[in-house]
Amino acid sequence: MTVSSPILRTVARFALPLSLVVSAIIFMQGHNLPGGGFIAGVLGAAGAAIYLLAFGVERAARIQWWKFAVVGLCISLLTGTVQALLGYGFMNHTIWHIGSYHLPTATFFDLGVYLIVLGTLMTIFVELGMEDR
Amino acid sequence: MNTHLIIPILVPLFTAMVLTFFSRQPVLQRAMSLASALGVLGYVLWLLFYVDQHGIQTMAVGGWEAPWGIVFVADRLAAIMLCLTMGVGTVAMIYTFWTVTRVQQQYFFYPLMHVLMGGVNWSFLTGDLFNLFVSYEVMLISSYAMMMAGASRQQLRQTFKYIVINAIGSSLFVAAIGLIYATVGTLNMADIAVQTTQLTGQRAAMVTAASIMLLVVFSIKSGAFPLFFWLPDSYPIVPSGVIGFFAGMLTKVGVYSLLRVFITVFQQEGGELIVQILLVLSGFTMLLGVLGAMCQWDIRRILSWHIISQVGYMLMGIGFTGHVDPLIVNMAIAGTIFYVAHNIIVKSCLFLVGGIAERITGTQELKKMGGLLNVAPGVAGLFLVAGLSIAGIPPFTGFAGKFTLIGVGFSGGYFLVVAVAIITSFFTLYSMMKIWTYVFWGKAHESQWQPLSYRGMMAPTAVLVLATTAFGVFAQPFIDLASKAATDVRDPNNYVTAVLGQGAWPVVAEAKSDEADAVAADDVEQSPDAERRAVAVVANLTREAH
Amino acid sequence: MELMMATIVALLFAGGTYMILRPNFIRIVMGLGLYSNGANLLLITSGGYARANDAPFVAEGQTQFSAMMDPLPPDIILTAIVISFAVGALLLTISYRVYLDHGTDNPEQLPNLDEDEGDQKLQHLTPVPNVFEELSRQCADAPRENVSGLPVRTAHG
Repeated sequence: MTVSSPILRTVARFALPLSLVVSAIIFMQGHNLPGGGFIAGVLGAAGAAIYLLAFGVERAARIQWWKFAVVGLCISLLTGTVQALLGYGFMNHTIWHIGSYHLPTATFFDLGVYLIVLGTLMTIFVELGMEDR
Repeated sequence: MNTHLIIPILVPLFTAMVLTFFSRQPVLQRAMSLASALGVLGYVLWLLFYVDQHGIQTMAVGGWEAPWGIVFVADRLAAIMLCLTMGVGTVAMIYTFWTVTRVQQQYFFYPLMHVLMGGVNWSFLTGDLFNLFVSYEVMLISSYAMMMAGASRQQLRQTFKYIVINAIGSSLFVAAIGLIYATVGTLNMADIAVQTTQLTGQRAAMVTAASIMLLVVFSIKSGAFPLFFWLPDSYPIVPSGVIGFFAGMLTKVGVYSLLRVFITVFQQEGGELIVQILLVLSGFTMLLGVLGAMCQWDIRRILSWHIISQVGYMLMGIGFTGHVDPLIVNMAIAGTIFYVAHNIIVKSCLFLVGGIAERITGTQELKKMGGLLNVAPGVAGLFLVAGLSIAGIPPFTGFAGKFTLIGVGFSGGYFLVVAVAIITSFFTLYSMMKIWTYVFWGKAHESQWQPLSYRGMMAPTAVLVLATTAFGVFAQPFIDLASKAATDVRDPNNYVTAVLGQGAWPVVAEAKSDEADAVAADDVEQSPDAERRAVAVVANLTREAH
Repeated sequence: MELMMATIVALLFAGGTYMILRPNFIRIVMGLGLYSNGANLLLITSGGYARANDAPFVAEGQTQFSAMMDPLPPDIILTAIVISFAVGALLLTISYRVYLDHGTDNPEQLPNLDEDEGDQKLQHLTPVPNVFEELSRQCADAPRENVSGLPVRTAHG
């Protein structure tokens, strides 16, 4: 399933890296502003969707996207579980201070959410896009 | 802080995730599944004893305290349901070791089963209305996928129907949550109970309207009267083996939610309306369910219609709680809890026996089966016990459960519904006899039979048969436990105090400030006494019956 | 503002009901989408969006919170959106498969259940001779050329 339009292909070449960068920015700003793992994941997948429209799903179908979702779920739940095992209670979050930066443990939870959303959306795109199967 | 309450949710989820990476190694997958399920089963059994000894346990997720954050609450009812989930889940899982096909295992059968069990456990443990919605969705989405495992034509069609009806229910659930949040300003179940006691007039009516939407949602899930049509269509296509878990647990999650939400949580003025509606619906559910079963000639369809009819008994028990006498209310809830437990075990057992019969004869149609008594007398014995138990013949659990409920109905003066219940019971017996006659007696069509081994499948089924016999013969401790659980459900005081802390429950204090001081004191003194009396009455009756 | 929101919610639910009652799989899925959007709008209205709609993030030194929205309804909506999205994708996939199977997207034109057996006996009744034999076979010839990692539909596709 390829839309063979040169305009779309040219746009898609730039749209994919651009949307990935924007999704990374939105992911990082989710700490104390609107943003976060879910929106960033959707943005990244949207950029990838344009790319798939232009160049076909076959290239993306080589990757087992659902494994991203499973790994993401693992990361998210492990963030909560590690805190529970350390005695702070399930899903308690703390902030680590590394030099002048601070890194909340909630970032890892959000990273998991990002992977889940990206993996799920890409699985849906690829599976619905592969018509001839 | 009891962080361990997360175990029944987290361990199945983690197991599911790990198992997805081993979908090419069936033996390893099965071993890990079994180990995980047995571990959680051990934990929930311990939890039941712990909760029974030490009272309600709570856990605040993420350290956000009760009215603001999500809490998990384990009271006796939740612990009983957890034990039943994991028990029946483990048994059904062992049974699937013989029935699951290659395609199904590639479709993530065991991971989905763990997610399903985790979601069911979650819905029993949660103390937050929106979290209940999320747990429902976790449970439902995995059940959609399991229903489709194998993706035959019929499965896809029927799953579409099942998903659509449940998705409509989910939208109504979200809308009801929105209305409740707008009126009460909280979604924590204990906090809703506290807030709704003070509601009157329009706001109370608003909460009642929202709770009727919830009634629709829970009726869809539990298969109550006007909304049961999806059930007999969709259950026959569920893969054999896991159907035992589906039939036993999924509708009972709806019944549990009805008990929890309409008796413990919503305390507003005019909230009794729901209970009265349920009493009316229960009669129709029982009768129409069993009438539907009587005109079917497919073993799975008969048993599916019986699920509906049996849910009617539980709704009847909930309907009896509209009575003014707290003693009768208490016994009604206790009877409902006992009946739910009975039905989970026996219904799963019947479906598992039906699965064995299907496996031997290669068909689901009654008229093509026949003659199993000579070939597989053990299977016949298992079916006999389960069938007699569901029809309410002593000494099995069905008798104790029905006896308690019907006794409560008589002493409460609900004669019409009780009459319907008794008639339904006879029809159930007829229907079981029909299965018995066509499947086990008669001429064997051996030419169509499949050369499959079935003896191993009898072991997990026999565990459930033993359970229904044991709980029926030694019913006393279990009825005691159920009536203790019923006290927690009927009187939100314990629940609210455990979740929100001492002094959060406003009712007793208000009654004292009124002139009804003496009455309140009387009530407080009387209630444990009354429970003891009720327990003694039922105990005597059960003993006499034996 | 609240009256307008209530009207929109009512229209969405009415439209959703109309769409669900149409005999067409895709319209049913779209009707469910309208339903979930209506429920989400109801939630956002119940959170007091009309009165206060600032994002609920506290800046340093902030003392006034009255313009801030209640953070709970957006959370709930986000969860509900994700769930309805997942269910919608699943339903679309199923309706596409049903269309491939039966050549129609009209549920009323599907054959009766009794006539629908054909070559497709229920999959869970396919014989499995012996569990251990089956297990060893599964270990031996598990398909490896599967591109996306998801199980390929072997039955008829």
